[in-house]
Amino acid sequence: MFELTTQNIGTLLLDGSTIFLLIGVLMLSTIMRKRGRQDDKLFFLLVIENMVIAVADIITYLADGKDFPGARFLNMFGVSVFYLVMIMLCMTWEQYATVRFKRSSMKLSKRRKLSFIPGIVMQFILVVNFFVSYVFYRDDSNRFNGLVFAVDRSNGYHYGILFVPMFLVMGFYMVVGFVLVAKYRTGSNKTLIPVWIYFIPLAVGLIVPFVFGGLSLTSIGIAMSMMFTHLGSASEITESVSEGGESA
Amino acid sequence: MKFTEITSENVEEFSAYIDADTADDLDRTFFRSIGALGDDDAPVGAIVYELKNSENEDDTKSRIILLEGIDDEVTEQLLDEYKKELSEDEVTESYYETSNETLYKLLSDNGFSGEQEEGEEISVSVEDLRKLNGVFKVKSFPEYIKSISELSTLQYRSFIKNCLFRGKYGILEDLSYLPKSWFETEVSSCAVVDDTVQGILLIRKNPSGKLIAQLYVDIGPDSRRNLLLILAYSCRKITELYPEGTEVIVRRHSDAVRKLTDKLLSDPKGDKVYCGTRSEE
Amino acid sequence: MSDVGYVSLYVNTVAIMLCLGVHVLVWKFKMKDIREKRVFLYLLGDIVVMSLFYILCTFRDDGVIPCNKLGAMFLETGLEMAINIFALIWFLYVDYRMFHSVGHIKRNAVIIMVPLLLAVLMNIINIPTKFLFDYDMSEMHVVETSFYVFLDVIRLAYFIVSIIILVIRKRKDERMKFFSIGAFIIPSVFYVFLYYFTPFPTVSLGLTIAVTLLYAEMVNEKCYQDEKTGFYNMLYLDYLKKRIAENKYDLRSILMFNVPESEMEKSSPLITKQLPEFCDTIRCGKDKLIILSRVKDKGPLTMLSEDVKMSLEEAGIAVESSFKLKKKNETAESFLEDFMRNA
Repeated sequence: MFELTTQNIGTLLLDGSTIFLLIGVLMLSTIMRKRGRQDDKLFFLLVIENMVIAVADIITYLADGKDFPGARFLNMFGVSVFYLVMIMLCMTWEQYATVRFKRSSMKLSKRRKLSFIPGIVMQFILVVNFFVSYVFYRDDSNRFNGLVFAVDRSNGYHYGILFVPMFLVMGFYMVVGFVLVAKYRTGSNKTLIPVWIYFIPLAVGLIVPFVFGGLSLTSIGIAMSMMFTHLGSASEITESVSEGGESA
Repeated sequence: MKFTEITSENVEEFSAYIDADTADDLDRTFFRSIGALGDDDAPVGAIVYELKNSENEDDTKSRIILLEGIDDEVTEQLLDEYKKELSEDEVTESYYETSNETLYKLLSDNGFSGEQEEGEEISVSVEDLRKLNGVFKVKSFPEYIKSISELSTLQYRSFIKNCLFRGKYGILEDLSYLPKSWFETEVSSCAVVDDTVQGILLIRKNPSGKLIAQLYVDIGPDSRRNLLLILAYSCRKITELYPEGTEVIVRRHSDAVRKLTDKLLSDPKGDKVYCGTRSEE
Repeated sequence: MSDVGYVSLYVNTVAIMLCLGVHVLVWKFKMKDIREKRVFLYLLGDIVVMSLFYILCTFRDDGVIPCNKLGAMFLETGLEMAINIFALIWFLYVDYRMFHSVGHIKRNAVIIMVPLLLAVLMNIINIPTKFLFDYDMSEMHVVETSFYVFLDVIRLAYFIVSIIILVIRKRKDERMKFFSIGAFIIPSVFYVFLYYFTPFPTVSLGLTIAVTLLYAEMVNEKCYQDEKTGFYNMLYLDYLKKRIAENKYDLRSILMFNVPESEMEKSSPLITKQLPEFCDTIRCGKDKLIILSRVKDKGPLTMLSEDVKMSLEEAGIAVESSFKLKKKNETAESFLEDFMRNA
């Protein structure tokens, strides 16, 4: 039967706080979107993706290890959505960093289009994984762990062979994004925000639950990193909106 | 009969009709004056009036301050000339307040309504102010309460601009055109906090020696306390610097001023005056 | 450590991370008023201290750190002090943000400080007397007495009075739109509510989210500002146009200054010094500034125009000015449209 454990409540609290914070940031940044800048639109997309990740995280943690009807399906679905949107978020993050800091156009060059192939392929694999793993579930006679992951009959989680490559793909986009942020930020020493501020929350959010287990800090870590980057860069890049456009 | 504009240059010729206090105001932005000259070009009468709302979108009105003539014929002709001038300023209404019964009758005969009321102005003596010093019980004033003589031009003008942009004029239609020196700087007081004027009590001394309160306002966060302190400061200064017979005039032009005078003075009553209006459209 | 302990640890660690991150961002943020920035940083700093105390109290309750009764009481008292001080700093922040007057705070220092001093005294006296709360060493948790509510009342008083001041000021000053009461109240109240109905110390997280949203609003305000001069930009004018159309902004006059583009940055502090309150200055072109105001007379506009001209001419900057008053039968909307068309 469905039972809310302390850990579940904790996850609800943290992921709920992520959504709360992001809704607040979204509402308060409507003026930024009115500027009509491409990076503001990408930030909006990042926030939406992050909120979806938080919701998927909640579903996963509520369903994981439980035996109520539909728990296994919810677990598979939640985790699949989580990873799918995570990959999407990493790609959006890289695109955001390129547009915002490297000041490239949103239009993708051939090279940038090619760079999205690993992410798109991984997402396709995740979709396939959902169906394949759900049908060929792991039990004593079948030790198939899915392409990326599988959830067995007792609602337990298992890693597949593409689990680590999936994280490598995510990591690739994340790192490229952060390198672009570090390399192309402009401003004086006085106003330049230490670049570690942007990726430490994300690192903590990913590493701590992985090492210590327990609750998920992923979505709030991502939320903090994205928010710090976008809001923080407001004081780094000079602009003139008087003529309704962007300079430099 | 001829008519001429009276200015500070020729006002002395009309001294029989215009008192020193009114003459002093003739140079002010919204004050107008018409002098009547007899056949031998000798002054025979004068009318002085002040325009209200002449620089904004509201209906322009005119307040008749003084109307004097050698006889009724002169005053009637002055009123006709006055009406012609009003059309140039697009005045829609004239009004007056006077204790002069003859003037009241003359104006009533010329289309003005008229009734007797309690006047807006009350007169306060130095003795009354000495009693008020006892009521305020301020032993020593904080450093930030001072005379406006200690203000720089920038501080003064910044505060006046702040007042004007909040719609606070006191009884001065032309506050924006008056320099600090127009007021009696030693008895006019202010509250200066963080190098910015927050409140002020501006007092003008007329040629006849009367002191008239012009603007009393505080726009800062501690307005209640500051208003009390600057009033107490000015009262003390007046009692120190002016003799017993000095008259202090307060025009109770708003409910707030009325409430304050009712609170501070025992039974403050204005003189009985005649008031009336006339449409000029 | 118990599950509740883990959740408490994670929640407060997130609060600390968020606070520290926002702390660095605010520190680097270009703010005109250094004092305002400093108070905001103290606010964040206090939340970090509060979160640390929550973590220590969690460790205490879970037996992770060995503690005798006195130590337990000190930890709890430290937490209470951090909360009391937050209430005071918040009040000072709102007051300063509204009035920008240190003199006003100094003159009212006694009234402002007395509630806090009372709360501190109550906390100190509580250590030996336990009249507010006690620590149950057998059950390892805090037991509050009925007198504890007085402490809450003192803190609530600071918050309520600050909200009242904010509401009153927001009605008069258009610029206060960048200080959203909801952005602070909603997360704070929600997480305090959670604190009372769950075993988790969520107060610091709620306050952190609230303060983060206030920071987001500061960044928001920057978007409305012209980077070089600090005056508002065309985005703000669009916002004011909407307010005018809704009859929420009483526009009666517009004053315009033409300052050469090369001198605009140099002249902005000189112009700012002459500007009165309750008018909005917008840079609407490379060399044009307009001031929208509720003034309906020529006199104040002439005065302002003269003062700005004099100030700039003293600095060797040529400036042209003109102004226009709204006509009686004209709507504020058409008045502004006509002006911008001809400007």
